[in-house]
Amino acid sequence: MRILKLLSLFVFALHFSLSVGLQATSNVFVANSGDNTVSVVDVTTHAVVNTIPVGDMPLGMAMTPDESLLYVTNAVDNTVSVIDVANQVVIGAPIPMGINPLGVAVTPDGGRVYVVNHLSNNVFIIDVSTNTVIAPIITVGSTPTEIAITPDGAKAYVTNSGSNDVSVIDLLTNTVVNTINVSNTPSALAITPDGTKAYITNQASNTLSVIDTATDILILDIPVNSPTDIAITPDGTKVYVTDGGNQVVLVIDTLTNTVIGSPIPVGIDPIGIAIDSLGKFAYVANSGDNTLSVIDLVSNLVIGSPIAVGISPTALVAGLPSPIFLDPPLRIITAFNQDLYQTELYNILSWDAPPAGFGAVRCFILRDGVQIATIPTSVLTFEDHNLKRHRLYQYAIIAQNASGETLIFSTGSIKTLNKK
Amino acid sequence: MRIRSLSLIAGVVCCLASSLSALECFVEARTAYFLPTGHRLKKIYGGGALYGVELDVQAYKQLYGWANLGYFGRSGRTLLDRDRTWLNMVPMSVGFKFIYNQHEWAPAWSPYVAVGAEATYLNVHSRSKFLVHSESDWGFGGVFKGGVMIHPATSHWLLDVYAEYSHMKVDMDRSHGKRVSIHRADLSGYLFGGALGYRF
Repeated sequence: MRILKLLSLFVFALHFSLSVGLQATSNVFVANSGDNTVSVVDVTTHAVVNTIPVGDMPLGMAMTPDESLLYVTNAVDNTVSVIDVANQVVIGAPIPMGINPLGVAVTPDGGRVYVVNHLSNNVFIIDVSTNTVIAPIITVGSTPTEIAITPDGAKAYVTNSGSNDVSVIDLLTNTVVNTINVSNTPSALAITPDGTKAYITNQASNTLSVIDTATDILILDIPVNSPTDIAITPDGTKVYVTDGGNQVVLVIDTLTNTVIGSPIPVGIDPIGIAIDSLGKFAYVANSGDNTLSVIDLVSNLVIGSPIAVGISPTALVAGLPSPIFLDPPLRIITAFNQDLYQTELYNILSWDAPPAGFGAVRCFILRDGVQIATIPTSVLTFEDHNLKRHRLYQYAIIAQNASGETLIFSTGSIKTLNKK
Repeated sequence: MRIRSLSLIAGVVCCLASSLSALECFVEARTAYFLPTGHRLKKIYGGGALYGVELDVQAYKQLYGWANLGYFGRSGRTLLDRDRTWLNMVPMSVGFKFIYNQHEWAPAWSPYVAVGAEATYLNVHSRSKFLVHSESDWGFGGVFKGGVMIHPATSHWLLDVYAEYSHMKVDMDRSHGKRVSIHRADLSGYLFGGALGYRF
């Protein structure tokens, strides 16, 4: 009961999303801590296509790089469930863990799984070939919550929410080689795809710590509000942070390490976030209203209606984005209108009609996430005038049907020339 | 409006000329075909008639000082979008003219060469909603010209046939809040024309 109370607090405070580089699945897996299931969401249809029972209070998930196995930490019964992804069933007996397993990560070679035991202050290692725990048990800081592994598989970073530090584990020797002090209650973390930086959410201090992974030194703290989870785009340019207190997602530019754009409103108590392997969409688990929000990463807008999943969704794993969102592409060319002494630069956009089954009644055009026009669905071209030279512009065409549902059906980008 | 303006300018020049009656001077009404050499000016507006008046005042023997005022107005279409655009150009120049074979009051052909400095007032209007609607500015350059004056005996009237090259660029540096790239307007070009003059 004590553990349950503790965990119920953490459900609203911790992050368990795992940015695993999936290559083939267009499903999103959502761990529902309230009904002990994993929902399988087909992102093409936005429908839950399967619900897989797992252990008591699933809070963390990680998938092997070959997408064959999904590991789910069950925080209350202290086990890990293993799901056969292809058949969407649990295989084998639950693997016993330490007390209160939360965060989980798979090595890039897919050979080992590292599981953080929150109340036993250690990390267990699972051999994927046998699905058994192997030595050694790695002791870390106080009440560890989350773990992330560098892309080269050399190091793992563990956030210790009780001791306000991060343990660095050498994965060759499986020993803690460094401890980095951060702000209060570090929980979620993510490592950039190039492996150079780790971003950590500090819940009690409302900051995001940035660690240089080459030196294991804290670089800076970025002020944010109520950070609960974090995900980094595959190109490493942006960090998406769920703000549990304000029901929004914040976007951070990794070059400047500053919050950019407007907060993206999502559902109630967003607690988990994952980005698909192409960097097209982010999926947000809203534990307060039992839904999944889908954010288009070009426009930084929530698309479609929230997807109903199980009770208290917390953790996510996302694969490829839905093919329906990728085709057809947006065709863009840049043109120049010239007077005697002035040149005006504009982009000409053209696209195919929205999917017939969607019943679109109007379309919106977004440039860099900002709506710039509303047009009838019969119009399939648009000119975007008075643009800057030598700049990347990203566009999205969004269809809206009579029910108010929206669908991004065409996206594209272009870098304008440096022509005068 | 254009003719009235030119008549007014010609009147002013005539008054000036008569006040300078102690010196030999000419007043000319000039018409020429302006052939632009600047790429955009040529493509957007093309060539056309340039009207003007010129006052020549003897300075020393065959050396004359001159002042010229002209006007060139054209409409055209912007490149690519074909939006309507208008150009008004008022070149003003002063310089020295050397007249060869100049026989007082005798029938003669008098060739001449001249060089001078030029200031041009440029005004451009555009109908495109994405371009700057209207902008005016001044430019400075030089002019070189040559021609032949034909003046019959015992007559004050003369004819002038001439060619001219004007090198002129105008920096239009205001975008008026529009996101456009601003460039230097090249107004250079050749003039081929004739003039009817009066000799005082």
